[in-house]
Amino acid sequence: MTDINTRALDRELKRGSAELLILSLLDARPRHGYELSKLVHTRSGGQLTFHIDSLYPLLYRLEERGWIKGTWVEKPDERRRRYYRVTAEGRRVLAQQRKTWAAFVEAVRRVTGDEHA
Amino acid sequence: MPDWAQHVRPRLSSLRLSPTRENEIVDELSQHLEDRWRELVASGASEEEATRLALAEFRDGNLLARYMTPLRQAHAPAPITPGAPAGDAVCDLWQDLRYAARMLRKQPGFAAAAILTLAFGIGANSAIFALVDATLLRPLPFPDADRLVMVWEQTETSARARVAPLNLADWNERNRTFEVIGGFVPNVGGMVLSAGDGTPIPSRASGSR
Repeated sequence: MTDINTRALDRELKRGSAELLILSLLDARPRHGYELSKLVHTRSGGQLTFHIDSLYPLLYRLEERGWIKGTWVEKPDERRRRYYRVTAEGRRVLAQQRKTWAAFVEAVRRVTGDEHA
Repeated sequence: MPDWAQHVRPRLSSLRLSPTRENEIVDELSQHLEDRWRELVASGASEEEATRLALAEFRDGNLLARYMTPLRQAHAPAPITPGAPAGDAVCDLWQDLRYAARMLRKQPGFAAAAILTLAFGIGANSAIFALVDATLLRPLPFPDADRLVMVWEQTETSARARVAPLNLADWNERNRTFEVIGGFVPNVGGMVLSAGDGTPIPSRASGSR
């Protein structure tokens, strides 16, 4: 079993794994903010919701860290939209966070699962 | 459709965003609210209800500003206006120096002319000060320099002139007026001949009472 970095785990729990969710969704393809909030809501079955006042500060923080990169896309007769994509550094962080979460879920399953099965 | 910017911009007013960055965020969040509003209207909500629900994405307490405060972009330095005081003498000086450095980099020809002008000015000032210091400011290398007098040689048939070395020696032997008479040879850097007793001394003066 992979050792869990306790500090990283605590941080991820506190932030509700928001960074992992965003990086995972952007790993597939570039998306804009509203699309991200819709995807989180629908794919979580309505259990998770990003409000506008927490989603965008998170995106800006990830961008300042260099994990994602935003680009304005303009189309005729439409307001410009900012699409975000994952950077190489973001992919490296995403891989690490996925490992951490997999280890965490496995640890919880071992504790809460049917240990006498 | 509501003007979303008027709902977004006030929520950013407590942050020190650059004007460009603030406009970008206003655009981006306005687009988000517009998307939400259109979706609500399409699902059957009235425009008023859709507006209320879209704006409900902003929770109480201006969380947007609170979550953005730790970000670097929320602490952009104030734009520099040439000539405008920054409110602090040291900041003013630093701001002026940076501005001057940028301007000099942009105009290398002007920068070279300015540097040469400064170099010539400083050089000329140094030379003039050295001259004034040597002739007016620095005390003569004699004790009681204020008692020194210059003695010249003049006869009925000749104009005032410098004293010939042999006459100087002669005067020294017969002197009852001055404590001692010394001399110097001009045009050799102001260096010495001798004092009255023949001791070499550096001097530009010729005698003392």
